[in-house]
Amino acid sequence: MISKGAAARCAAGVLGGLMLVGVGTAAFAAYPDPEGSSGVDVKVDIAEVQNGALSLTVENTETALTETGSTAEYRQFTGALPNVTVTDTRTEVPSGVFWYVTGQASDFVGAAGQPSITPDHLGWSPALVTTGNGEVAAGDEVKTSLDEAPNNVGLTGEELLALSLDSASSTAASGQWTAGANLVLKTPVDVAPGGYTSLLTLSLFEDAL
Amino acid sequence: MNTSRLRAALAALATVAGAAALTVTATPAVADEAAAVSWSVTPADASGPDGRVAIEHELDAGETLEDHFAVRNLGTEAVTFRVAAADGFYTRSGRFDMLPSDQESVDAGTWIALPESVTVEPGGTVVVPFTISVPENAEPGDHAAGIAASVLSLKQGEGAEVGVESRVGFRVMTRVTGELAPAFSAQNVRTDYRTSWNPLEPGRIDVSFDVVNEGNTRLEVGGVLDLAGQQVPFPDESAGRQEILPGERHTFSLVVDQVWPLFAFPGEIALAPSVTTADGQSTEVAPAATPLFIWAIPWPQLLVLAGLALIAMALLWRRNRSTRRIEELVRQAREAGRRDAVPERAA
Repeated sequence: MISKGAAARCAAGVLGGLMLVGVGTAAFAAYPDPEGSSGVDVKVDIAEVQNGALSLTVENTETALTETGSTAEYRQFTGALPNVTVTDTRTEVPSGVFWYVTGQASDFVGAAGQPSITPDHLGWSPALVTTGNGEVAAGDEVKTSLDEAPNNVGLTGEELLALSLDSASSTAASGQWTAGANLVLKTPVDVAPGGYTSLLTLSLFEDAL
Repeated sequence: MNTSRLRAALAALATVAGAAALTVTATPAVADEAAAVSWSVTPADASGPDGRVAIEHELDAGETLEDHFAVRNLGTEAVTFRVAAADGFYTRSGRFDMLPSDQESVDAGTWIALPESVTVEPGGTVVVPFTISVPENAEPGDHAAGIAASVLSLKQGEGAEVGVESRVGFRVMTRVTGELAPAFSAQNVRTDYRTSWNPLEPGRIDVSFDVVNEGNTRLEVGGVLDLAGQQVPFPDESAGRQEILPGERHTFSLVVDQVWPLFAFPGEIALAPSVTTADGQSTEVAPAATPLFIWAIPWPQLLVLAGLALIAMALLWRRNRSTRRIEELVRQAREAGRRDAVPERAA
């Protein structure tokens, strides 16, 4: 039989110990490393040009954006962006000049006059198809407004891939880099049925650090 | 690809893209199924690319200027590119971009006159002339636009169709002469102390704020966040220059690392932007500071202290209790002794 006093003592001791174990566990918590991605080579034929050029290559492959993985909370349509290749064959590039490819989507306009689905419902996860040596980086995953933060803004003006320079004195590498992206359209379950059309605009621009 | 389906889809897209966009009869910028399209677009003079990365001009209101750009076709088939100018803007991550073809430009994008499409033979380069005509009533200051040549490919699905317009472009900045009035402010300052639950490690402070360009010049924004005895410069070096166009805002998210929770920190955001001029030179603008204040309660450390205190209390309590019990026993023994002694004396 334990006395009231002893029980209170034990409780205080156990509580104190638990607090210490709690913060101790937090101290040892480890975070997983991000996974690397593997790539396959994509061949693009480029004609010889004097002084070289920074060019964009797009495949005209058709891919379906089809319904998969819908739940009770949302309907989900997925597809893949055709591969996009940036080739830099220039021999003389001023230092600090880099390039990037952005993506922005328009409203999904209903074919039968049903209300539009705004572009914040379309997300993507860009990935490099050719890995290269780390000169370029794929853009961050952009989630839809039906997902949780962060980066749940949809394709309002996002990055697919970019040449990364560490300083204004470094110069662009020449080479060829290919990226693709998985597309995800998430809509509320009560979205009006019917056909929708959107235009996804990819843009290659140059800038200087 | 089924041609009638393509045309139907194109027609749908054309409706979406509006009057300024492509039409079915012209079908510029539609890549053939088999061949990939490769192209480059750069500022140029009349004879070809001239090494500029972007185009920048200083013009009077009402003035018109002619310039050029070159479109090279690096593919194996002749391609008709759609050519367009549109208002420029900076994306969330600070990259320059221009409005897509389904959005109507209202500013410098409408000042540029150029052909709707250009056909380039494989391996060929076409120099395209264009004019910038600044309206008489244009506001002084910086006006951003872009020019791009694009192709269109289509994706079709059962529920939703996505057309992909791919474009290669460059920036066209026009500074309209007149009184330049740079102005800016820091708004929406948000701070968050993130406690490390390891009491032996410091936490960090997340700070984010918007810099709003309230003037009529583009600003190259930089500054220093001074908080908890640390100076965090922004933007960080790898991000490069951060330009903000008139009327635009850019969100900076900064981290002050290795901060012990010492209950409260005052600090300030010191903004020192500069105005970039058309010839690439920059002028400083009077800097400004925005104060901020943040609480940082040392919860993990307080919990450790509380835990230690509770354990110590429990131990002390037990010791006191046993001491009291011994004292009680001693007292009882003395009492018994006294009781035993008294009757003896009485007897």
